[in-house]
Amino acid sequence: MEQKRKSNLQTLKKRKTMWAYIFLAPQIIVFFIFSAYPIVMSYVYSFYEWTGIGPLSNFVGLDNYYQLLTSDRFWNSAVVSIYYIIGTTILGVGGALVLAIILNDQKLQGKGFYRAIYFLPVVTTTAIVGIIMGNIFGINGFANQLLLNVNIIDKPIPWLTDPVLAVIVLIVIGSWKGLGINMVYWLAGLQSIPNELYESAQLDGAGFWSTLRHITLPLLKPIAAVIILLSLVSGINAFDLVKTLTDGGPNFATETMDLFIYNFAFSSQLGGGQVRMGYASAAGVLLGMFTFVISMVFGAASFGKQITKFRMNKKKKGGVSA
Amino acid sequence: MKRRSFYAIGVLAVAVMLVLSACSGEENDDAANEDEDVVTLSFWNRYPELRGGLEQLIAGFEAEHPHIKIDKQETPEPETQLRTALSEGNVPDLWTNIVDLSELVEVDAVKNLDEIFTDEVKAQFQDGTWYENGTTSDGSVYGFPLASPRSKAMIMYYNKDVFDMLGLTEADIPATWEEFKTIGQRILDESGGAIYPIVWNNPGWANEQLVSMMGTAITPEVPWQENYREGEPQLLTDGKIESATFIKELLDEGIMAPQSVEVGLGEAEALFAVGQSAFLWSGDWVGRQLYGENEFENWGVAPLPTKDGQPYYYHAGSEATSIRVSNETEHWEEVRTFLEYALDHLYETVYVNTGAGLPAKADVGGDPPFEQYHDILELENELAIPVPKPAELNPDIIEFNRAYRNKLEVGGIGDAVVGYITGNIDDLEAEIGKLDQDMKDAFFETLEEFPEVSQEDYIYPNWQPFEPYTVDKYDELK
Repeated sequence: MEQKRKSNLQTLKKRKTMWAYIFLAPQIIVFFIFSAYPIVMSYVYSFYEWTGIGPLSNFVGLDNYYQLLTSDRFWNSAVVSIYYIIGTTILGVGGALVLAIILNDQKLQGKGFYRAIYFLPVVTTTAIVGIIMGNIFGINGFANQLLLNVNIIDKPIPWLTDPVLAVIVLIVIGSWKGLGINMVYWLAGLQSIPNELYESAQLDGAGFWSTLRHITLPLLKPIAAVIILLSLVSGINAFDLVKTLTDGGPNFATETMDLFIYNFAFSSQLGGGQVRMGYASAAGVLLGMFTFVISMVFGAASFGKQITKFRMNKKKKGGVSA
Repeated sequence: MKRRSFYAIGVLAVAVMLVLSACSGEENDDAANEDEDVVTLSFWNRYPELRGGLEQLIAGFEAEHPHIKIDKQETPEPETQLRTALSEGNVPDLWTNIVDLSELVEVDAVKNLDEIFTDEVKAQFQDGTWYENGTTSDGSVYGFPLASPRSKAMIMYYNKDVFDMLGLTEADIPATWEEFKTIGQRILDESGGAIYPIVWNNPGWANEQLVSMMGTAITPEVPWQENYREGEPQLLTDGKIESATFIKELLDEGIMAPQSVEVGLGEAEALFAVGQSAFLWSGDWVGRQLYGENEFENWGVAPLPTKDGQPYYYHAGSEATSIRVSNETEHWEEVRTFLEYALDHLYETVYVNTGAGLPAKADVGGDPPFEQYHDILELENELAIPVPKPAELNPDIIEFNRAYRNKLEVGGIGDAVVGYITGNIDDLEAEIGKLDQDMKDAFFETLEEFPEVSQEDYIYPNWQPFEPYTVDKYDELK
């Protein structure tokens, strides 16, 4: 009887497992075809001199990596990417927090409207944003016309052709574009803080700044780590904005790593160069590693303590039960 | 009772659905049969100036051949699109040239067109139309030639409305840089700064072309990126540096419209057409753009100004503007019908009648839409001069060129010139010198890997700058 019950239980478990695999199968297949396979193949391509068509015949070993790591243009693109990532994270995440705190105020009228307005850039196509901003920040664009008309400047500012200004413009626009989504994350975090805490603080005579310092910010720490990590990772994908706004110019001064990869993978012939898929793949591998390192370092810095605490608790519990 | 009526309604509904679906099926079948009779060829075009002309050509062809339809699409990112199609095995039946021909032949992606281009047909084309890795590979034709090899040299367009308004005449058209600056200052003064003397554009390739062409008036032995006397690549020349310096001076002195460093060709043409600038530097195809896209007719053409008014030139056959056919096409018969029709009608319809440029075929009739077309033709014949093409004597050079250029970070000097003009590079000579050295290093390093190619293959002792390098000159060296 006992054995029969056990065998029924096992059959039930097997069935459950089988169904779990059946339901997982489509996702696993899609993952292998569209994620795992391209990733593995980009590693393979990176060891070849290859134009993207025809057989892989010219094995060059680590030559592509060597050439990349000794290339000024590659390092310049890495530096531009780092500036962009850090800039958009500081401006985008910081600005979104300020906005979220303002829009979380119970007394504020028309919150829904303001939230929609700030969220609008998130759902706007980045390429279109790039083109429109190109007109706004052009030599004869709206920004210069405005500054000239109010006599702040006496000649147009080369927003998009000065390398420093162009990177700043990219950062500002990139931050503005991501402001809405970060604001939503912050709002979710703010709304998870119990109101009782604020009420008690008010009874104790705490003002806005002390409430912010001693209640809001400390309780937002866990979500802050997630928002910053997401912002850092999304900052690595600046391709569409950079391509449409500056196209990496002047003289590659605003070329980010993803645009660098694109330029070598596809669009070189018209620019007088050669298409080098193997070289671009090697750059892609390095970009992947760069993303991984950023995520790991930041993850360790943000969640390290929590993970250690969790492990210690688990160990303690394990000790009690033993 | 209720149950019976429920079943009756159900049966009726099913019957109605069956009848309706049968009817629609018949209609669909008819449509499908009609569709089966029509073969659709896909055609990707990357040349904006050919759009209108190709549409007219296709309309004429479809009227004459109702069973063949051409589905033409414009490709804004042609290289990306074609490479993606190649890797997916989804190449259009026809496309305008993109991706190195040798690469396409290597993977068997492009169709041999020898059966259309017999020797008799080939003889109908301009000299210099047929060359290795352009329209031919190993002597066989793989590209249906479109534009004349003696085209694409940059010229100067001048706005006659602006000239009339400021009291300028054709005698004021500048031939030297000094004259250009003088007339530029006069235009600024007389228009009160409302009209810029020149509007230019920012793509790196256009800047490289401009300084290279202007530069040949100073350093004629380097028409593009090779020195055929020394037999080595050469990016750094006095001509290019001085030309870039001249362009920067125009910008700094306010003679060139400041937006020149931000805008593309199309915007520059539009600014010129609305009278915001007196001059525009561009290629032969711009006549059609001014006339067709900007509806502006009152302009003239002249050679670019050079340092001392000396002549300049551009290497003919710089680009094999042509149609290529997929080797995987399932409709070769229909493609051939289209190409044969194109052979008779394309040059007149697409080039001459629209003014989109100069056709590859010689002695083409037609009626240019603007009178300046013949002036452009004359200028291009004078300025686009055939220079040696080393691959004509040694086909291994095609593979060699690809290999040595693969070692380069940057394919040319265009971006450096843009960087210099916008003030981001102070020492252009040092910057181009570095690119020049990189190119030479890659060249000589690759020579050691290719025993079948030598530096001698790049030396042409019987070549004189400004003298067309014709077939008989190659024969002299064989």
